[in-house]
Amino acid sequence: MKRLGNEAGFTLLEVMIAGVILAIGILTYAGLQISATKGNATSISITSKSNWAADQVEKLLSLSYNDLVLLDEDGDGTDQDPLGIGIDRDDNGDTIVDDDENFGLHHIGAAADGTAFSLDANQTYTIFWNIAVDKPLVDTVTVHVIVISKKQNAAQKSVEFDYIKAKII
Amino acid sequence: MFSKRSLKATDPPSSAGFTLIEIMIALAISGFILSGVYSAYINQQKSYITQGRVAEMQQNLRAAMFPLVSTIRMAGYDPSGNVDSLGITLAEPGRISMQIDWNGDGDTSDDRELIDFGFPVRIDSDHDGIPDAGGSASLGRQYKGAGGYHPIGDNLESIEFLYLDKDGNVTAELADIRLIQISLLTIISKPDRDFTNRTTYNPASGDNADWKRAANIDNFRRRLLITTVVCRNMGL
Repeated sequence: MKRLGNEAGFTLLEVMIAGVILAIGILTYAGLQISATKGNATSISITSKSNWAADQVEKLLSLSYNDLVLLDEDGDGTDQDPLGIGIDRDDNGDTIVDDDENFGLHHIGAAADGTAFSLDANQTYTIFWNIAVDKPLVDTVTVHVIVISKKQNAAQKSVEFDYIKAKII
Repeated sequence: MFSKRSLKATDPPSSAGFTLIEIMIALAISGFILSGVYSAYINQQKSYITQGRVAEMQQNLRAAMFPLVSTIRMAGYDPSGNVDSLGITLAEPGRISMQIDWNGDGDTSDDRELIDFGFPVRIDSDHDGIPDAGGSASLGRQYKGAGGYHPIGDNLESIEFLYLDKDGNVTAELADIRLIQISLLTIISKPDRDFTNRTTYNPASGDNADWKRAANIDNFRRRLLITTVVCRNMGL
């Protein structure tokens, strides 16, 4: 009669190794839940930040054009195009179309034109805004609002809004 | 443990079986593995349910904020200039009523032209933005000053409207209102015993003794949203 296969079984060591591999697999699966939790935290953070950005934009855009121009406190975005030619907006003599950097639109910290804190008890979020005059066209003002959370590295996950206000002639 | 006797082709299959020790060891090992798998499953299930509720709470907050902001922004809209109106007709911390002449026909008697926001009156009879009996309620919207409040956001624990004049100072004068700061606090539908909430939540007006109850240490997650709306159509 034929034997019904090998009955030697597994050694304890083999079973333990298999168990460890299984445990690693299960732990990886737990990572899925962690990323779901992080996803929810990121989601409320983006909601709150865009909410504070919208709050600041409402306040800034309710100002008149001239008041808004005065808010460009460091002057890096003002009188950049006195000739009104629209291309060399900083009028430094070249023909390069100047980008946001020339107008200091992405400044945060002390370099920004204005700073505010969120109204919640912990002041979780910091709101910066920068003003650029004659951008993107002559007689318009671009308002750039940047919201970052206090705990984060400034470069991470900021929410940024751009708004444009025109001079009424 | 394993038989070393030589096997002949005519032998019957081995019938030695397992010893009691072997079975106990095997049971113990599989017991460890199963308990590990089960506790991992339970933890993930809990986390799944909690995160589902968190997402729901955050959606409630966003869903409630959107119609508030977009409607309040239009308060006092009167393109014909014929409406004898203040725009905002009731300004309480927990309730706001406004007039918007959507179709510009010079009156506010058409659909959706008289709008109230707040908790239903039977839930928040003193209009302070906190349900009289505690707990949470649905923020509602009512048209034409009657017919009841239809929910626009569930599980809100506290709401606040703060009315500011053109200089940003708090005002009680309806005609002077230019900015409205909206504060909404949502609460999760079920507590989570593995989580302790020690955060203090304040509305835009600052320290508020009635909102303090939210600072009581408990197991509920909450989310706060505050925003400012400029009432462009007021005082034109």
